[in-house]
Amino acid sequence: MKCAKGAVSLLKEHTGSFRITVQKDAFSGIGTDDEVASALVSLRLTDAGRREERAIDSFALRDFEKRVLSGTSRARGVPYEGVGLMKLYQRILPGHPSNPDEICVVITDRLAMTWSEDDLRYHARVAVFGFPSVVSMSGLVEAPARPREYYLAKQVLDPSGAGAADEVLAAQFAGRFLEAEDERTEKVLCGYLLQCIFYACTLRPFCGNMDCVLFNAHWQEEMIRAQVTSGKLCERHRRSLERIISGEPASWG
Amino acid sequence: MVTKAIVSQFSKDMEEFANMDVIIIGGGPSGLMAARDLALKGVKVLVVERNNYLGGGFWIGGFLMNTITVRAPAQKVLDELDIKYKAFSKSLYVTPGPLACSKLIAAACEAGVKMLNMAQFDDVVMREKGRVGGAVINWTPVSALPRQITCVDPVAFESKLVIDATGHDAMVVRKLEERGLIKVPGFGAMWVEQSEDAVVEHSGLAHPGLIVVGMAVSTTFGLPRMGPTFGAMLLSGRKGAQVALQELKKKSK
Repeated sequence: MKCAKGAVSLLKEHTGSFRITVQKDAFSGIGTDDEVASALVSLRLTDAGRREERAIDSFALRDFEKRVLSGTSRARGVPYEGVGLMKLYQRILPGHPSNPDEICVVITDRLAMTWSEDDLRYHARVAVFGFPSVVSMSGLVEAPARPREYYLAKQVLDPSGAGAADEVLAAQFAGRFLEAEDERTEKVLCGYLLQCIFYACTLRPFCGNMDCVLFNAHWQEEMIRAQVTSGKLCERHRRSLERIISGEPASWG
Repeated sequence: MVTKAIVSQFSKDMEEFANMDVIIIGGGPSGLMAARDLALKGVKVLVVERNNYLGGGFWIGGFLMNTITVRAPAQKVLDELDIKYKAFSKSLYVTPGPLACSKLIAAACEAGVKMLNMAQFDDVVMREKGRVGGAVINWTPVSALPRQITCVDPVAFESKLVIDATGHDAMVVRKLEERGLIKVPGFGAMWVEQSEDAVVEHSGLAHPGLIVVGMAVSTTFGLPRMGPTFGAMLLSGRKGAQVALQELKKKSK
């Protein structure tokens, strides 16, 4: 939540007169809803390599989902089917669909994943665009790939994948990828919130310019370059955002 | 006289054990932590441990190397228990197993937790609507002797809640599975880097009347087997105690 507030402060530097509010407890009112909890369990993935491999509905998982909705537990890193998650939020978000002039973004700890027909497996995503768009805090850390050398080193130092070399690897590759509680997170999150704004206004969230915060990064280093080192919109998108703010018809180009 | 003292006191204890608020199966770090936190809140807690000694793997650490590792923020628990430790790196702390374990056992005992060691979980007590309402217990040696010479019936201890702190075996949860009341995915590999967090956050109700803590959480929810160090076990126990307090509060209304 602290991170979301920080990102929103940064976002205001881009959006000026936009009124932005952070709703901390948006879902707390439905935290006891069995049907919503079951729907969330049904979106929980258990095997990234199998398309319909979902968690078994159980009292334990429903209770966990209720605790997450009411804010007493966190679902950090728990994988869910991303498009289904976005559609569920669409249905349960209090007050949604709202005023068409409002853009709604759900920031969640859940790890949103989508299926790829290219390699027949699920991939973690930072954002799933829609109405509302969903931004995954776990996705910021897990979705864009770490440097290629990181995985080679991990294979050598930690072949069982037990996390035994995490500290060594973190030191060796310091700064080259985002970690949980990373101080750069607010800045990175701000860029993805801008992507959500562009999606809501133009249906085009991305830019091909690697120094624009709308760049669709597949690698952590690309993400850090676009969101931290640059931290700006490219000239074309800066003008486009100005037009959006002034109420001119949105550019689809 | 000595025998009379033992029998007299033990008989009083057994009478008390039959009427506890919470029975914790398993006296490892997560079970002891949950027990200590609950007892400090005035809850009547019994820990059932199948071994002669309490503490489980907390004495010896990993791979028979008796250095215990604890990741932040769990070092705060070490502070609370007055366990001395050293920083190994930015967020990783080390402490001798015997020191940490003995202090945790002492803290639980001093908080008022009752201990029944050399006794093992045999079955659950079931109450209305399939709620877990206690545990069936027998002496550990009974299971170690040939059946024809050990016709020793167990005893049932009723309680408002049972906490499964039996590690990967998840013995109480497995017993419910045997009865067809629960489906257990077993531990797996899902997101190793976040396994500690996942275990702590999922610690909670597994079935009405039953809470899981420690590595039993992995088995119950299908979380990663590898990764969690002792910090997560302590925090999982604490989380389980928080959930237990909420449940006891609901019951008292």
